[in-house]
This record gives sequence, C-alpha cells and structure tokens, in this order.
Amino acid sequence: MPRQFNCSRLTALGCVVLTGALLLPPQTFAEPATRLTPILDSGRLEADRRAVARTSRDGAQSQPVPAPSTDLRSGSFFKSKAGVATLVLFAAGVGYAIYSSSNDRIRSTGR
Amino acid sequence: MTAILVTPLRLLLAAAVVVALGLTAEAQTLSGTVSGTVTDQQGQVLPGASVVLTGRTGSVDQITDATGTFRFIGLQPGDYSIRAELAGFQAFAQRGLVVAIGSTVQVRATLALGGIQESVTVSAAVTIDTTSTSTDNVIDQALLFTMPLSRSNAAVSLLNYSPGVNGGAAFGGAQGASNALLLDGVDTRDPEGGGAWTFFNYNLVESVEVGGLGQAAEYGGFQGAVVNSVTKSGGNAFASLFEYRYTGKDLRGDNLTSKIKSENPSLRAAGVDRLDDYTVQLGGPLRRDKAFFFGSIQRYSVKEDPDGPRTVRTEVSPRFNFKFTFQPTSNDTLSANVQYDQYNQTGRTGLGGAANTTDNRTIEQDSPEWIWNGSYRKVIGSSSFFETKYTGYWGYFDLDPTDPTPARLDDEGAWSGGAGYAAKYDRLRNQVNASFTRYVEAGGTHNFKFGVEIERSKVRNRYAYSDDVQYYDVGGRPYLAYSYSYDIEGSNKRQSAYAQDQWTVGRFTLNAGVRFDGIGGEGSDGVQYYDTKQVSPRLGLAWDVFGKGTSVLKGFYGQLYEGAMFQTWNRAVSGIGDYIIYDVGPGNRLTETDRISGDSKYTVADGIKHPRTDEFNLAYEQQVGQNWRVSATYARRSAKNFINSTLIGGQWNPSNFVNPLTNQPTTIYTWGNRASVPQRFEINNIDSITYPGAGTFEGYRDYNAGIFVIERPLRNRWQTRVSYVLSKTEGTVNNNGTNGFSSSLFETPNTSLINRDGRVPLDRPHELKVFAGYQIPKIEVSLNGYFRRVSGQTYTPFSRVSATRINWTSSADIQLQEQGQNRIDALNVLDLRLEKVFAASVHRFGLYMDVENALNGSAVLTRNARFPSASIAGNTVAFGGVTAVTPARQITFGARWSF
Repeated sequence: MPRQFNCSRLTALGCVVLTGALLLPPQTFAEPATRLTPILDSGRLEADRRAVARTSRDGAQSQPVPAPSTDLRSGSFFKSKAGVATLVLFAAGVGYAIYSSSNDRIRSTGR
Repeated sequence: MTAILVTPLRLLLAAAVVVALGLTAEAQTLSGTVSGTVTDQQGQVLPGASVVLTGRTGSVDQITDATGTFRFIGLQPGDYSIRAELAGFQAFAQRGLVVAIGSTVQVRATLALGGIQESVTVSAAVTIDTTSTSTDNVIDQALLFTMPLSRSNAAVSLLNYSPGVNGGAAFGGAQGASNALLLDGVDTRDPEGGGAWTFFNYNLVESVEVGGLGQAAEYGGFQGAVVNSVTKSGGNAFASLFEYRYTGKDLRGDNLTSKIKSENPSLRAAGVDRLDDYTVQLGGPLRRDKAFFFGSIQRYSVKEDPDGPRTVRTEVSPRFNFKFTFQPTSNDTLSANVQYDQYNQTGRTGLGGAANTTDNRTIEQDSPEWIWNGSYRKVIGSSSFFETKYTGYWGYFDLDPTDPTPARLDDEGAWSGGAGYAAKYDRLRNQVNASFTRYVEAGGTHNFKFGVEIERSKVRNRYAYSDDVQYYDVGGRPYLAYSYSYDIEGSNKRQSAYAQDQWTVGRFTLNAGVRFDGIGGEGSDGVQYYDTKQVSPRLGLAWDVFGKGTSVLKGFYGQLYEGAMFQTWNRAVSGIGDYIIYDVGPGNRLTETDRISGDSKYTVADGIKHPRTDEFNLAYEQQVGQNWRVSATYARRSAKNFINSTLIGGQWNPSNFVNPLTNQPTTIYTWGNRASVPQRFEINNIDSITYPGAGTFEGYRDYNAGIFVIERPLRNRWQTRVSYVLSKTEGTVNNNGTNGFSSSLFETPNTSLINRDGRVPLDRPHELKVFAGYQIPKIEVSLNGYFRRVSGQTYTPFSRVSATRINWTSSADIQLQEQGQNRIDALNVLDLRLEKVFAASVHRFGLYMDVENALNGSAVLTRNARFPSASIAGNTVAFGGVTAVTPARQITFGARWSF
C-alpha cells in the first residue's frame, strides 16, 4: 500500500493561501474568462487596440477589449508604481542570477 | 495583387544568389503567413481594398489584387489582428489570428455595404490546413501557460507531450538521439550523439512546433521528430513576466509499496527535496516600430532525491538571455540574441549507473555555455522573402568524481569504491542557413522554397578511469583490473541543400521536395574518416475532400536521414588508449596479462551509408463544428543503414550452453581464430552481416502505428486534446541507446544472433494522452490536467557469460528468451494544475499549484533483466525485480505577474 501523503506545515500554508485566493470575490477578476495566455502579450494588446469590438458575427466569441489604464507603449510607464516595481524586480532578479553564477559555480579541475 | 509569372531561369538565378551569398544553415521555417480574399456579401471579389495586418512590432498593409486576394508572408509567430476596408463598405476586422511556425492562416473578409460601422470577428479556434501533408502539433502559449507541463528543460521535455513520443523516442526512433532540436530554427543538438545540449526555460518560448510525420524537405537531420522552438521577442509595448516556483521535501509523497520494497530494498521514494526557480523578463521598444529589446533571466535551483541508492542530486543553473530586434523597414527584420548558461550539477551517477551509485560514488559537473544567434529576414512584396540565420554555441562539461579512488565491481555485479572516472567534453558548433521562398501563380499556386545549410562542429572527449584503473573483485578482493582512457577529437562537416514546392490546384496540393545532405567527419589529424552523401525525396499529396477547407486527406512518402554524429565514427580516430588487462596480486600489485592497442583498431568501411528511416503515412483530418478537430493517421517507419562495428576475419565455433531459464541446451559461440587473427573492427552498416561459423544477422526495426487525435482549443472556458496511439515497434536493433548508430553489440554473434528479434524495449503498444482544462465560473479558477496511460517497456532475461567462456575480450549478455516477451505494467500518471488569476488593467497575477503524479501511483519504469538475479547496492534483486518507479506525488506552488 502506498504510504499516506504527509500534509506538512508547508502544504498547509500553501492550501491556506490557495483557499484564501479561491474565496476572493469574483469581481476581483476584471479580465474576460478566456484571456488565459497573456505572457508578454504585447502583440495581443496591440491587436486589441486596433480592432475595437462593435458587433459579432458567425457565432464566434466577441470579447470586450479592456482599455489599459497603463500606457505600456511609453517610457513614462517606468515612472508609475508598476513600472518602478518592474524595474526593481528585474534588477533584483538579474543581480541574484549574476551572484549565483559566481557563487554556485562548480569549477572543474584543470580549466 | 497581380499574378506573378516567374521563369525557371529566374528562380534558378534567385537560388544561385542565395547560395553565392554563402549564408546558410538549417533553414527551417521560423515564420508564418496570413493570406485570404476580400469579397462583398454576394461573394464578388473586391480589388483595391486596403488590408492592414497588425502584430507585436507594428503594422503592414497591402491592397488586394484583381482577384481580391492578399498575402502577408514572413511573419513572426504570434497574435495578429487584420482590418480590411473599401470606400462604400463597412470595414471588416478580425483579431485573435494565431500565426504559428510554418502555418498559413486563411482569412475570408466579407464587407457589408454602406455605413461606417465595423464588424469584428474573433478568429475561429479551429483551422484545418488543407495544403500541408505534415502532422504537426503546436504547443502555443495557451498550453504552455495553463497545463501542468514539465518545467525542467523545454528543449527536450515538451517533445514528450506529442502523440507517438515517449521518453524521447519518437515514432519508433532512437531514444533521445534522433530528434532535431531547433532553437530559433537551427539545430542545437550535441554533435557527438544527437542529445540535447542547450538548456532553456519553457517561458522563454513563444511557440513550439513538434513536427513528426510528413515533414517537408527543408527539415533534415532526424529519424524521430523535429522540435522547432521560437523564442520571445520585444514589441511596441513594454511587457514583462515575473515567475517563481517552489516545492520542498514535505510537499512530496512516498509511493513505494511494501511489495516493491521487498523486491528491491535499495529503492527509495525519488523526488524533489527543494526547488527554487525564478524568471524575470522584460521586453519592449527602443524605438517604436523600429527597434526592440527582450531580456530573460532565470535561476533554476533544484535538490533531488534521485533513483537508486543516491540520496541527493543538485543542480543550479543561472541563465541569461538577451535579444535585440531591428526593423529598418517593415520588410526587413534583423535579430540578434545571446544566451549564457551555467549548469552546475552534483550527484551525477558513476560507473554502474543509477542503480549502483551511492553518494560517495557520485560525480560533480561543471558546464558553462554560450549560445548565439543572428538572423535577417527580407520580405519582397507579397510573393517572396528570404531568411538567413547564423547560430552557434560553445561549451563544455567536465565530470569530476567526489571520491577519486578507482571503482570496483564484484562477481555478483555490486559496485564499490569511487565513481570510477573523470571526463572532459568540449563542444563548438556553428551553423549558417539561408532559404528563399517564392509564391508563383502558374497552373495553380506554387510555394517554392530553396535552402542551403552548412554545419561545422567540433567535439573533444577526454575520459580516464580513476587512477587509470578499474578493479574486478572476487570474495571481497580484486583479482582483475582494466585500464582504459581516451582523448579523441573530431569535426562534423555537413553541407545540405533542398528544394521544395507546394503546388495547389483547386482542392489538390502536391508537396514535392528533395534534400541533399553531405556529411563528413574529420579527425584532428586532418584525416577524413567519414564521408557520406545522400539524397532524400519527399512526396506528399493533400486533398481538400469537400472543398470547404474543413477536411483533408493526405498521404506522404519520404526518406529521413540522421544528423551528423561524431559517435558514428569516433572509434576510428586516434587518441584511444590501450585497453590493458591486469592480474591483481597482493597489495593490489598489477601484472599486465593482455593489452589491446587502442590505435588503428577500428576503420570505417568505404561506401558506408548514413542511418536512414523510410516513412509512409496516410491521414485524414476533419473539422467538426466550430470547435473540434479530429484526425486519424496511419504511419509506418522502417529504420535502416544501422551503423555499428564488426570483427574483421573472425571465425566462430559453436559451443554448448545450458539456458539457465529453461534448463535446455542451446548454442553460443566462441571466437575460434583469436590466436591467428589480429583484433580489428570495421565500422559499417549492419543491415546484413555474416558471422562465419555462426550465421547471418539481419538488422531492421519497423514501426507501425494508428494515431487518433481529438482536439478542442480553448473556447467557452474549456479545452481538451485526447490522443490514442496503437503501435508496434519490432526488430533486431533496439531504439534505447545507441545500437542504431554506434555500439559493440554486433562484434560477437552472442549478443546479436541469439534471441534478438522481437518487440524492442521502447515498444509502446498503447498510448493514451489526455489534456483537459476548465475555467470554473464564479471563482475564476483554472483547473487543468494531463493524464497519460502508456504501455510499459519490454525486458528480456539475460545471462552474463565471462570473457574466457567465449574466448572474447569482455563478458557478454546472452538473451535467454526471444526479445520483448516480458512487459512492465502500463504507466498511469495524472498531473494537475490549479490556478487562480487576478487581473487588474493590463496586469495579470496568478497563483498556481501543480500536482505531479496526483494519484501518487507507483508505476514501475524498469525491472532487473539479469537472470537469475543482480546485485544492486548490496542487495540481491531477482530477475523481474523493480529497479525504478515513477516519481512520487509532488506539489509545486508558483506565482507570476505578467503584463
């Protein structure tokens, strides 16, 4: 018989966070349900702006296009709170990776 | 757009220009096409309509020609929107056009009369390409982002989600060695043995196309599948991604049953003890519509409790990727990117493999690498474009044992001592590609493509036993020792060219092409050791059965040649040390008893042929309603031109042997003229070889499969893809390992003639893979799952006979039953992903939980095939005893912010 999975404190913490997230009101989610894939989705953003939805045809889905409150096409974005957070996180990520590339390096003998 | 008439002479000149530029490499497609027609509501074509296509890096526009058609070519994969307008008509707009690698998206724009209204269509999710004869599986962002896919190394792991591919063995091809792994269009495999060399994260990838069957002539260097990954680029809008994943020892289960533990007490529950993996990405414009940047930095750190007696394996990999894109005009795109990656690993297995490596027998690995890529694409109107690419990488991996003392192997098969060896492997690979594509209206529509490729790669391998020796023990003390080392170096030189045409007349499309590959191998001494030239035809026919663009019947025949591999001929180069056998006396005093010279022992046969697979397939694909696509495919592949080494001038004498499994007498073979014939081997094709005094061996491996796929892309909150593959892979040359292109297995008839014909180890008669995702309303949580049920491997009992018993240079594993009669139970695994998404303006925040092996099943992966038993980590494991099981349930938490 497989041993029972041991739900530890970490599991419990994760479950609490996830459960809390599940209980948040759905109004929190302003984005349409089908927009699941906007990883670096600047192409879609661009496309959305050019194609303003007015009518739908052929039974295909029609989605309202959210008007971005943040201008991602201007350098002034980095003066906003989100822009500053982006720069800080990016810099931190780069910095630690550089540190890791030196600190975690396994150096072979004879190189 | 007027019809373009091009004479064969002009086409030839165009191709010649490309060749003359010397801009070559694996010129596989990186871009896609959007084409279509503009009509009014009565179906009349509308010339002169303005059509604007908008994507990540700006817009391009065209005016429809006399037939109302337009065509945008050379497009970077991604999402696009299109807008068509003409005075007196309402404008037409369509968005959500997903352009995948090598795809053609058809748009039918119908303009209504009058007004200034604009009608908008969101692109239908399902499309059928009625002109292609390939069966590709595109893993786009929708799947990459939502499904519980393996996050270890996208270069190879994503391949296994396609129907017909398991454990890196694709459509009966060799495991992990026969797949072309393209990064931004250029093959980046290890030039030695065809395995993955470059590593990158899944979220660096814009789109992955797994091409399996029916590939056009532009794709070469594979006998399995082609994985074509395109990396992300910057665009006009700033975009970013931050992601972090974590798991720990307390988040994994234990799936070892008491039965498994009783069969093999050394097994422990394998899994991840800790994972810390973060990625930061930022991309955007340097100058609007002109210049863009993209950066991705990842630090992947994992600590694992691996299979076997080892307790820890660690890997820390910081990776830096930067890409710069420049568009001087809307028709010219220059791109350059670079990656620096370190792969620092501890806990790698020593001699004896995972089943026999304890912590003090592990190896540390140091492996940095640089990858570079530059490309230029020129679009000429709506009918022509050419692409050039230059890619290369430099890197090495060094293996150093944690315990530098020699390894010891006893007569029961138990290992002790240190890991047993140290090694250094150096690689340098450069490739240049160029391709020219031209659409021509002449007796239908032609899509011609010509390309050339040049590859130059260098390999250097250095290897030596610890203290130059490995011991064999009896009764706890060494009695024999072997010494072995090498320092070999070689260069692969490949020149390839191809020409292909996709000729569409009405509902029929002929896909015809031919490919030439010249593959050579040169040692560091300047000697040409390997030289092959092959021409491979590809012929496909597609028929739009009902003329509605919703169904296609297609057939294909083609020949596929393997990529350039140093491993096929590396034993012929100088640098292999003498193989020395010692008697071991008191105080471990070594007395040399035999020495086999490492020099000039192997030669490559004149006229050797490069490994090849012939493929035939027949497929039907149908769109059902707006949302579903179903397909059924019959595929047959036959591998041939296997390369291995054989003994020159050997004479074999039958010898009686009692099969310990059946207790029946059988025949094995001893080397009869060892005293009079020098030990020399020939590297040659082993499709038919005769062992004087023993018999004739016929080498073959056939794959037959029926592949059924039902697919529904994400719409109305849910998506699914279900595939089932019924297949049979049988033959005398296995596809697990290097038997197809390099091994010593065929040097003696004892390991090639006896019980060798049957189902190969990676034969998978039944394979069911199910992706399903549902976005739960109200709470807006995405629940996604991936389930697979795959037949287990076959295994064949063998008995190890000593070298002296068969008068041979090493022991031999003699199979006691016809190959493939024992099969491990089917593998059933369910992975889940639960994600909660918070969206605010353009920002998307996600919290997710991945549960790998959610059912905590303990599917057996491998069983001991040695009869009657083997010693594994000091424990006696009977024939059929478990040696590896699937990892236990593991929960991973992740968080990400993107915009």
